[in-house]
Amino acid sequence: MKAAAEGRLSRRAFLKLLGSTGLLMSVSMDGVAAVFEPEGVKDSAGFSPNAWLLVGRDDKVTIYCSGCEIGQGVLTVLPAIVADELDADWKRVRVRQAPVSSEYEDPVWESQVTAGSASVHHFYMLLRRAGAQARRLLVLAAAKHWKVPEGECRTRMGWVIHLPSGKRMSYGELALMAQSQGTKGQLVLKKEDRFTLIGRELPRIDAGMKINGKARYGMDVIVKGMTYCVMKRPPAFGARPAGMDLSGTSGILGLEAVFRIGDKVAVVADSPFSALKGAEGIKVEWKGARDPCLDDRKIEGILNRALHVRGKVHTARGNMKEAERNSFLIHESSYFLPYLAHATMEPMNCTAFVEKDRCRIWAPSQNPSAVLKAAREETGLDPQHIDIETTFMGGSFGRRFEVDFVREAIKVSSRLKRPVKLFWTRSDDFTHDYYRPANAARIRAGVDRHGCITFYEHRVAAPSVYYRIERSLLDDGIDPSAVESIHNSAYSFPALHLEYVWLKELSPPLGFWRSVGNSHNCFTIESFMDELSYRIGMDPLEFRLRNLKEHPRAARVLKVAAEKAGWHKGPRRGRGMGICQHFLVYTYVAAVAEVSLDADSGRLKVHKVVCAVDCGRAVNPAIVRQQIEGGFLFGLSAALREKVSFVRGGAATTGFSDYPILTMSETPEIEVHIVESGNEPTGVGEVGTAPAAPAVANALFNGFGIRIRRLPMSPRVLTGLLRRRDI
Amino acid sequence: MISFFVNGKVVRTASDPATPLVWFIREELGLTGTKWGCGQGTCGCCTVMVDGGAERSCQMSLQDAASRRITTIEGIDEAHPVKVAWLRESVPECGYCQPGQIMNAIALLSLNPRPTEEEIVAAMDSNLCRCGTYNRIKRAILRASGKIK
Ligand code: FES
Ligand code: FES
Repeated sequence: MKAAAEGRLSRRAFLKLLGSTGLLMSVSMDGVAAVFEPEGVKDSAGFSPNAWLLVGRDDKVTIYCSGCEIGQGVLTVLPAIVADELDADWKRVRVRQAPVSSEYEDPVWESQVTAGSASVHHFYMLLRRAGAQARRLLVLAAAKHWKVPEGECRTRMGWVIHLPSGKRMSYGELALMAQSQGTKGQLVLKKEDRFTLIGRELPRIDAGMKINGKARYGMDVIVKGMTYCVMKRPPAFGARPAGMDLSGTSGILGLEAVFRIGDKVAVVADSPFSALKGAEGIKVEWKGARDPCLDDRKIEGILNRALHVRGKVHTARGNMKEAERNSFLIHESSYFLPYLAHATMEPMNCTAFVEKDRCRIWAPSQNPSAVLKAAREETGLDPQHIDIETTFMGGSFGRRFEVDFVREAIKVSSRLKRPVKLFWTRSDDFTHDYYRPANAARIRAGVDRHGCITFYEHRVAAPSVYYRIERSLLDDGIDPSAVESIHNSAYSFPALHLEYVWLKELSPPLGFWRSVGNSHNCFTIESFMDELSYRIGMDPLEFRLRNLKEHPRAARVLKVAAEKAGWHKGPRRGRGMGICQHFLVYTYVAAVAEVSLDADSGRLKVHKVVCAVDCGRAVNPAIVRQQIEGGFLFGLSAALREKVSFVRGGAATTGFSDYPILTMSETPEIEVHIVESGNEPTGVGEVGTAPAAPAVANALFNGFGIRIRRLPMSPRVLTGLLRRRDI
Repeated sequence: MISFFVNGKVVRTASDPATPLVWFIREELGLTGTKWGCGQGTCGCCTVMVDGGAERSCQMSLQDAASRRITTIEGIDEAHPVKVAWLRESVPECGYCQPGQIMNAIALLSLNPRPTEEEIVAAMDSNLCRCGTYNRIKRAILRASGKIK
């Protein structure tokens, strides 16, 4: 309780500090929805029983959202959970981004970070309790005031009503009384059939602001007296500046400073344009690449060889030998996937102002706890002297889990003692990403005469994501993300052997990329399951269902997707249809894709996609559908086109022209069906991404007899496969 | 001194004439609704209207903008049918590409008030959206053009 009180104090202090920089605005959807309130608006007086809400005497309810808005709708979804249990009037709700404070930490991760599709899953009960606590206190206050039993009072849309007499008082009128009201007895949560907001398709509160250009992203922060910084970055990983030639910068107006900072060179100017020109004009000599020979060829060679090496055993279950003997058919296949970039639409950036005894940071970050940690480390200041505003973000997909760009801004501002907006160029963004690792997999499995899997053997070879991020999670040298969703697959494997080969010699920096290990393991497992089904001559849907006996929820989403897609009717003439399922972030998903392929050009067209998802209770079904849709397209983009290239020890990919992402013309029609299961809500944000590649790859095999074992499925790869098929 | 119109108001500047319009609009005028996504002309986030046509403001210098009429997302009324359609279709996810998408859509509709789906795709295809809101964008444009209600 003490921590909470302190936290609220710090929040107020924080608001006061930032008072001058916030913009006042209110953009609502037709005036029937909650609004987002940016930093700098004064707290109204009222009743605040916990860190999550404040009931104002003016009847407005302020709800603090701990989740960072990276496009997933968290600003709408989390507050709606609080407001529902509070029985607040959604029209009178104002949502604020929670400041960085321990009371807003994710209860599972014990850190303030928005990641792993976990916001609703982890906060659901906590936020319900927060809302229910406030409602209870309001009811008690009203009952005391009217001198009636608590049980005779009900709440509705911001009112406490005394049923027998019909007397009513608004939450605002009760706020002061509730503030001094002590609790007794148990907290009672609403029965689910009394939900008024949870389960409803509330419009996103951030939509209007975004449409009108009023949402403030990291790039949009403007602070008085601010200067701009662009970094000159090493062309090869690990290289450092050895010499500089500034002659190319003479005559650049507004160039203020050029200095080395660690392995980079900071270029500071009074405008973004001058900073960019300065960075272009400077010639830096770089030395000491970690691996000067790193290039696409080398990576390919390492991946190819990796599958012949024995790895560390993650799981060894059942009697493999016996299972092999009892198999009617044994099949083996290998798959290769490239490095991928996040390519958020808003490049990395951060604004910081470090003074002697205080530091302010405007961070487009999904990881506020890490921002605070970075600020403490870089400035040596105590948390109470560090103010952090989490801004809107132009996408993240895992990239903004990292705080490299935050540290840079703090360092530069510390040195200049001025506010600095530091931003990355598009090319910086591609060449210094924390990539999704390239990887290879070999799978071998057997089936009996009835199509039941007898054993399953899977070797994943990949560099380690966790080695840099959280070494303590490397379980005996096994990267947990590399093998995720294999050992806990929904399929029944009577015997399972899972190995990990750690490709330590690959040097590109790695990070979390939407759906992490699922982004490769769903592709490899589901491609392989498809291969097995065709080998044994079973329908791919039937084959999967036969092996999903222990997971009825997985079977159900598969059946729904198949039925809605018209699986039994099959694809239209000249098309192929593919199916897949996956279990990730505690959610079940299945997808069916329908594709066609032009044999001459290798042009692949994905016509239609049907997804079915069981994420427990859908707190906001419209946002669930939007996330699955967007997530699928993110995965589809990678499957069709994305691959980061490397040359001479660094990334060769520098922009959208050599890393083309999916465009409108390639976007299929997408249908998302939510399969309600009555379970607690689970993850959504990453769920659509994983099944995209296998759904399309399996459709290609179904329609055109080509099996994709290497991503991306570029036209060149497809025509190559078609040619080989003809022979 | 270069002068031009931004959202109907005259703007004069002595800034470097080579400065890309996007930086001027955002950092000097504080109209940050226009986004910077690549500076390479490849994403479309910086799209504004210049004399009624869609232009990428990262590829246009102040000099090129001289005497022209520039409209940014802030210059479009909140009740504009395209903005309303965008709300109805709940288009934005992260929202970063959306001002550029909307400006491009408005430019398209001013030339071609009732575009076919193919015409929409052709006009919008080089405006990237990493969040995958393309189908919603398409529907919003059809809605704004009165083709769907
Ligand atoms: S910022 Fe102008 S096209 Fe990307
Ligand atoms: S909505 Fe995020 S990039 Fe388009």
